[in-house]
Amino acid sequence: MLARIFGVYLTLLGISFIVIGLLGNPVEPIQKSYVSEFPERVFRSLSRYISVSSGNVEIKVLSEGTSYIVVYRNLMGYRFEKLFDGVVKGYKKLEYKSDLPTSYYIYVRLSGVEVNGSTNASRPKFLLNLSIYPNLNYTFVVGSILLILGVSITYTGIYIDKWKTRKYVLAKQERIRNRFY
Amino acid sequence: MRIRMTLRLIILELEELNILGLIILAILSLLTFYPLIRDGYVDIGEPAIPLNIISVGQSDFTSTEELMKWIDMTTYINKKVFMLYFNRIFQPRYLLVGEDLSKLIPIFLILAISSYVTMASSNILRPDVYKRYMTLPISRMEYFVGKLFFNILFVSFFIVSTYVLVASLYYRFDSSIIIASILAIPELVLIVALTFLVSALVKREVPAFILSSGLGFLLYTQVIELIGDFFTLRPSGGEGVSSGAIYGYMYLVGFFEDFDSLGEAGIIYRVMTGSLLVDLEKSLFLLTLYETTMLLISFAIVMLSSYILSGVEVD
Repeated sequence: MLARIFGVYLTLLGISFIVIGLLGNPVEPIQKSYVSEFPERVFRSLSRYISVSSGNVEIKVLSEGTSYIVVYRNLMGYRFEKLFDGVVKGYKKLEYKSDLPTSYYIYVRLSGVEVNGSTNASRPKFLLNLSIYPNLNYTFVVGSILLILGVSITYTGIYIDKWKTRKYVLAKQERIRNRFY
Repeated sequence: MRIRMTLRLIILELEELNILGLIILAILSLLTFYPLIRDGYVDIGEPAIPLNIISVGQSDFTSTEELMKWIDMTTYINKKVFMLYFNRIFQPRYLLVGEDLSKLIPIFLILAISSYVTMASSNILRPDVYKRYMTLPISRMEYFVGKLFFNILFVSFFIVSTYVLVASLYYRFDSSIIIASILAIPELVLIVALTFLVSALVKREVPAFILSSGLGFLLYTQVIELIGDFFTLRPSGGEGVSSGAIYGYMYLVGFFEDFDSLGEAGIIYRVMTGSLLVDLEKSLFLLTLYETTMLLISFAIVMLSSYILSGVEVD
């Protein structure tokens, strides 16, 4: 009985994950843009982050001046790694794919006069565009695993119950037979 | 022998749980947590750390990697705090989810509890189930007390464990989630116990369901907040909360690992909570008092429900 309750619970959980995957997949990508100016005298730093369960991540940088960009990734909170480290002037597009829940951290450093040499002229612009295209594959996979596990546990429970009942009936028949012969 | 008997009784009780009620409870609990989780894992923006703290942090680190690791850690702590507010799930204004989604959270959770409890109550009064007490060396009242406690704890653990399981699949699984969830149990126990009391008073399923859902909402909007406020010390100057149960709770769970050397985490904590003077010991004391009060109120409600149920005539 306990196994059956647990099995039904896991099955429900699995179905819910799949439903979340089916209904929760956004048609439009999630996007956010940041426009900034290069500072006049000192450097300025920005940090942004993206969290996604599974899907593609796009980081677009459009920099009139020279900017220094570092991208790190943390996989399910267990593996922290550097993905990109470099200087960008002009346009740069970075694309990453995640199959497990991942957090991306983007660190940008805009250096003022020291980099571009301008003082009173109009300050160069900087644009950072972040996009997430979640596909919820992770949700599907986890849902399917839970569903298979749940169904197997439920059926095993039912099979054990049947087997126990059969064993009990056979033993009873044996006892009756022994009484007569 | 006594332990074996108790275990056998627990298994018997488990077999008599209302399966349909449990299925409805599971579906509604998952609907409750869905917006909470979805909003948490597809996220984009600035790290949820105040900018002045980032600039303080920047000057302390020699390399960008160190800084990013620190931002990662603090963002995670923030997400932990987001999960910690599970304890205050009945107060969606504390959650990070949007206004529209936040309304769904208590609605589904209260409906889940009410539907399970009304089904379970009618099950308890089923003649074949109810007559078991006659085979046990206990009184009718004791039988109902045990039965209600078992059901209440089961429902609370069921909701909490579903949350732990789902949250762990999207976030990191660690001891903090477990502690946060265990500390959330007294509030849930109070709601479930009160729903049982309504069911015991009304006896009929549909009116009991409607009434207990309504009472659940009333409890969520008024009473729990009132109890929470009672255990929160507010300074008269109006600069925010200086010390309270929830902050002690956050300290205990959110920064459990950094308890001895609070360091940066301490600064972030203080900024996040808007409290510059935090009396940790007082916070923890208030937390313990808050949780104990919740449990004591629940215990009184269970006793009253059992008393009412034991007076019901069963055909």
